[in-house]
Amino acid sequence: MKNVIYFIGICLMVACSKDSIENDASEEFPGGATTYNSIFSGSYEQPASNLNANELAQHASGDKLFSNSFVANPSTVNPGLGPIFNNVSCVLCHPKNGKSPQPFSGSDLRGLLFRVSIPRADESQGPMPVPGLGTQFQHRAIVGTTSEGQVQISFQETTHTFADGSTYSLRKPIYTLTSTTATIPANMMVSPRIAQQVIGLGLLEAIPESVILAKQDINDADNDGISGKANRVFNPILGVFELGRFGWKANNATLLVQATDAIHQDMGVTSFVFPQETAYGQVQDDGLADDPELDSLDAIDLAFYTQSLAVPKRRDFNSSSTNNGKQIFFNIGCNKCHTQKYTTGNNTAFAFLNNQTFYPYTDLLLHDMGPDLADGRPDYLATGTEWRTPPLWGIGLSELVNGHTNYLHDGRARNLLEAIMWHGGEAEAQKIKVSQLSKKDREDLVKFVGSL
Amino acid sequence: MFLFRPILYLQKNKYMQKITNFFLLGIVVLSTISCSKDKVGVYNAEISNITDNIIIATYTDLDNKADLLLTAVEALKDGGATESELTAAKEAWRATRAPWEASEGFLFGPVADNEIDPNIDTWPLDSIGVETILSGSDVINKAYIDALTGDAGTGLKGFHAIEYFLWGTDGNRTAASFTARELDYLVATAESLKGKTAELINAWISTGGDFGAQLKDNSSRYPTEKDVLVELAEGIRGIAGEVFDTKIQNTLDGIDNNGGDVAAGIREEESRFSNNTKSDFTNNIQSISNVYLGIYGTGGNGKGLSDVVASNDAVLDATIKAQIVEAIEAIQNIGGSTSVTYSTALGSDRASIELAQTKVSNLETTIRTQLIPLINGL
Repeated sequence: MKNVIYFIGICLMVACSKDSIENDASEEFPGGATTYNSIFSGSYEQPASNLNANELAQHASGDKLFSNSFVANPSTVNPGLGPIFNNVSCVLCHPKNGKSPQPFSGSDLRGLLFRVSIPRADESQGPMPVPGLGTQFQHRAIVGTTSEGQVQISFQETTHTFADGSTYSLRKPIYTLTSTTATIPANMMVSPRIAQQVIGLGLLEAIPESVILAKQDINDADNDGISGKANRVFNPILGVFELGRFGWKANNATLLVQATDAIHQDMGVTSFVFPQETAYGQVQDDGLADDPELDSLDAIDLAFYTQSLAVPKRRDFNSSSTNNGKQIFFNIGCNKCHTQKYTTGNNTAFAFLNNQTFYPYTDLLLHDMGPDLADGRPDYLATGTEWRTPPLWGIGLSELVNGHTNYLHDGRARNLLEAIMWHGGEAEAQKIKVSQLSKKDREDLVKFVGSL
Repeated sequence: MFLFRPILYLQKNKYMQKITNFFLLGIVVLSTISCSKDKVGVYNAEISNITDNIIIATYTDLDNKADLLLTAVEALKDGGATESELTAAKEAWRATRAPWEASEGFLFGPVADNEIDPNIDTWPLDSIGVETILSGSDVINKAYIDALTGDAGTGLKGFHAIEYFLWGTDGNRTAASFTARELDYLVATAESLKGKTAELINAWISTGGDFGAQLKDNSSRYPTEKDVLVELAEGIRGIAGEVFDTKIQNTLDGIDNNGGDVAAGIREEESRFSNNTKSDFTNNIQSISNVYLGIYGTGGNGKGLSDVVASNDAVLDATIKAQIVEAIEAIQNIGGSTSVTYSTALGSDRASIELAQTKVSNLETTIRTQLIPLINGL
């Protein structure tokens, strides 16, 4: 131990070099050649650095759609909003392509929405819609239409202690949904989800399915306490069940489905993938024969935008404290779910994604995260306690990009350390190890995660 | 090459921890002295001037002008609307619009974090929604508008709603044509706008949220001066890109040398009701000028990004200065003279719009390919 520290010290003294300690130089560029080099508030909004002119033009078209504020029909510009919706543009839920802060009031939910369903015998077929509400609670509506209802938020705060005696507290939000247009069934299941940052998604889509499936360990055959299960979700474009990769529960198969699902459920804009209004059959139905509202090429451009966004360069990726944190991250076993590194071959959907080495820190698999984080709402193969491992790249720029450090599926963690300490279930052992670290090591671990 | 070796952190005893801390401390000190590229204090004057005399001054101006706009529309509402009151309100709108557009070179911090932008400048207007409200019977006041538009963003309020009322869709609005409910709506949305501009300036000043200190002093958002300079440089790149690649391009899509759908182009125009589009674009580029030169109107001490560039690359500095001037001139000359509106030029002189687009694009290219790498390399 002593020798190691001496050696690090000597290396720094002698060389001032980034090469003298144990990081691969490519780790500074987590998105490979797509990586954007400036670190600033717009770091999540940059086109991949290796796009050609045609790809840049398509990216710009998608960018416009992502920024568009939609308005009620009939309008000559950006029509299609509602009749019921959660927000009016992609960027309002994904501010600067990042995340909005945890809301405190149901009248200002920003990027937070609620998936709802009622139990069914075979949840692997997907969530069963709630009569009068569907599978998502749209709390807003166009002028003259009544929304599906309101949300109230309260909090429960609990205090916990690290092994070194210092304390931390976790604040759990409690949500109450009410509706005047539908009767909320007693067995309704509610899943709060905050819109995620949208960087690097093309690379995640390009990971070969076999690589993801190879990491499954559904019955924990290796006895490390961590299973890992792929979701299988319905792809309405192909009409088949496929590996789920995107969304908090890996509940969407592709970025085209993800984008059209979001614009449909969140804004009420119909497309060739989801041609029927979310209010269909409900009292809010507009009865207009104007679907699909989004042009098919626009839908593809919108998906392309999310496929072609850069990942920002890492900040402070090679300091001694960052490297200490990195070693702790791996020693504790965080990387068992937050898989560090992937490479793509030469046959991905887009040339700019080919032959890239990248560092998302996710396995895209579902893991039981314990009862405290559970939403209790199954989503295809994901149980009520399972969540998909979220990627960690870019996570430390949240304050710079969005002015807050709220994390997890509903933004409940007020900083990265709280996010770690919310872990349970399969990650219970890792959480306990973190709680036993010295203050300095805890800080270094957080610093490393924040540097990604 | 030092190889990654498993370290038994969890078994470390307190003695080892002290040794570790001692050496880690040493590393931090050494790094600060010998390895750091952070030019602590080198650009203090530039960052302070841009923060206080450009950004905060622009937001102060915006808030003052929004106050005057509110006063002007209240005058329009009180005691019967007159043509001179309508004219004054239109001028107050343009005067408020100018600092707002001149703030788009620095769309970071509270304006984004607190959703100020989508609350005051959502485009397009939801005219169907506005008309539905007007034809109803709900009492229209600020609280109603704020509650109705929910979180933010619905195109029912802000600059473009006020513009819609003051000019109408054809630019021929008369004072006599205002209904009482329209005047209620107009005042309510101007009040909402003023509330947001007050929130914005308050978030920046030292007696309020003091976001300015995050730029000037050590902060977790901007640990080094370079972080601030990158933010500022990327900010002016961003608005240059927005003007040529989005704001102008959207109006040109579908229009070619044979004409094409000019009406569709006009629908994409940012401030088409007021014919303020050329002024909007001019002020967008003016915001680049302000940050770059460190001057805001008669204020600012001239310390801007230009200083940072000039000391490293005088040719680049001269290029950027010239390209800013050329871009503004080309925008003002759209349609052949300052008096020709952008809408008219879309039909009559597309080449002049494309020239302006090229000039702004040239500026963006220089900022992106030369200025930003220079600052990232500091």
